[in-house]
Amino acid sequence: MTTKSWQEKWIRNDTVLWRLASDRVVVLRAGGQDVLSLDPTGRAVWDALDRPATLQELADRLAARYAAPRDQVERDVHALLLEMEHLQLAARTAS
Amino acid sequence: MRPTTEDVLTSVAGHGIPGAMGRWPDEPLDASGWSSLTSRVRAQRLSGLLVESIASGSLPTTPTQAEAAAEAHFHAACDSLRLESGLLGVVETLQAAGVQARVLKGSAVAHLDYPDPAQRLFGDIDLIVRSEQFDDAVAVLSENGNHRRYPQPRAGFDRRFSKGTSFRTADRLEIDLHRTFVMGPYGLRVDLDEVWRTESRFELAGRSLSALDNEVRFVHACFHAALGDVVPRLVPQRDVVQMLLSNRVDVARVRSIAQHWQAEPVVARAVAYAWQTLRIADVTALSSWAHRYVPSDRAQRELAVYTDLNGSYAAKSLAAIRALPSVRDKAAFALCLTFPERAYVTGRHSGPRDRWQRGLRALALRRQRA
Repeated sequence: MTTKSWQEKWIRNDTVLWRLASDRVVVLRAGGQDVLSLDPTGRAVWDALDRPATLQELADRLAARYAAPRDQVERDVHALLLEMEHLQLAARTAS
Repeated sequence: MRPTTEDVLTSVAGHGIPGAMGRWPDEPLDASGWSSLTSRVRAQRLSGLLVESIASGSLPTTPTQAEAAAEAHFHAACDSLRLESGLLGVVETLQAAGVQARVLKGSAVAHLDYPDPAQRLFGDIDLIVRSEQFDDAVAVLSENGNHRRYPQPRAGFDRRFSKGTSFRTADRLEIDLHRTFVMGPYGLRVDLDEVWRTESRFELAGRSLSALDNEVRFVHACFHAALGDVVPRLVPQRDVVQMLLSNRVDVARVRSIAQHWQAEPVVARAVAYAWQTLRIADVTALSSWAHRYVPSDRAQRELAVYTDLNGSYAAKSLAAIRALPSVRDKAAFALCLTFPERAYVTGRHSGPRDRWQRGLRALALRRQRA
């Protein structure tokens, strides 16, 4: 990861439709047909993206919450963020 | 005493409301009881409140039951999203044609009145448009590939007299396009200028949508709860309690609107029924008034048009004619229904004679009761 990627902040894409469904989140792009489902881990990241946060901040928060190894959490969250960006569920933000 | 399925169902419908005296079982329901409960929960669109009842520990379940409830809610939540996606498309289409629309019920109430919109599920897209734009809205929706489910009796009838009409989209979603709140006398007395005077707004996928303002939305919830079905459904009753206990509703304005629209019997019935069904212990000024309210003989006859098991379209039409203010309107209404266009009759009745006979039977039934 570059220095830039450490400083970048991420946030939910607020132009998608979503609902909490028990321990999951279901998401649909407006006008889309396919509902995407985030599992409990994905939901935790989704919840944390309600305001802009860097990968480091997200990893710190989730590692503490799940009492999981910080490096492992960071790698997993980074992979998930890239996937969510690809699916237009999350975006990098300037702020 | 062990609570019945009905007790548990209404407890689910009232879950999370302060003062709701839920009756819960001490242990998980057996297979038969669970099957009966989940089928009623599905029919009443209460899966969001069911999973919350389980998560909070109010409703004990087996792990398999909890998993099944979560799965059912997952699918219901997906359906709500598809409807909201459809709603955004419909609003955009209408706006592009210069038609103003406000979101009614489902999505608007879910986002404006519930702490988590997943608690409030819905099954169709409900919008209200101005009477003078109703025909334009129908034309635009029809031109955009939506199928109008029922034709109007004669040109101009829906714009002047009806509650609205329904469409089915290419994706098989249902759109209820309203002009007023209900068919019949209570719908005709709704002051549509008051409905359109102010608004509430909510965000959906980054778009700002218009809804009824807090008090008009509450009165509409009362119409839905009290007049929507012969046996009031649980979700509209929950809406009534949810809104009233949110402290965002100006009760004095609600009373003023109800009086002005001659809808006090509707508001009183909705509030009293919801308080009783959901077993709400807390007493508010409006719930206290609703329990004391005694409708006049005329109001009871008008309510019966909506709440009687034998209530019919013809009975609502007859009551509507009585409620219309001018002789000219009464004549126009009667003319439209007595001599409808062929498209309206086709599929509803076997012919004009059948239509007359149904109307006469409804009239005779009402006369017998009188």
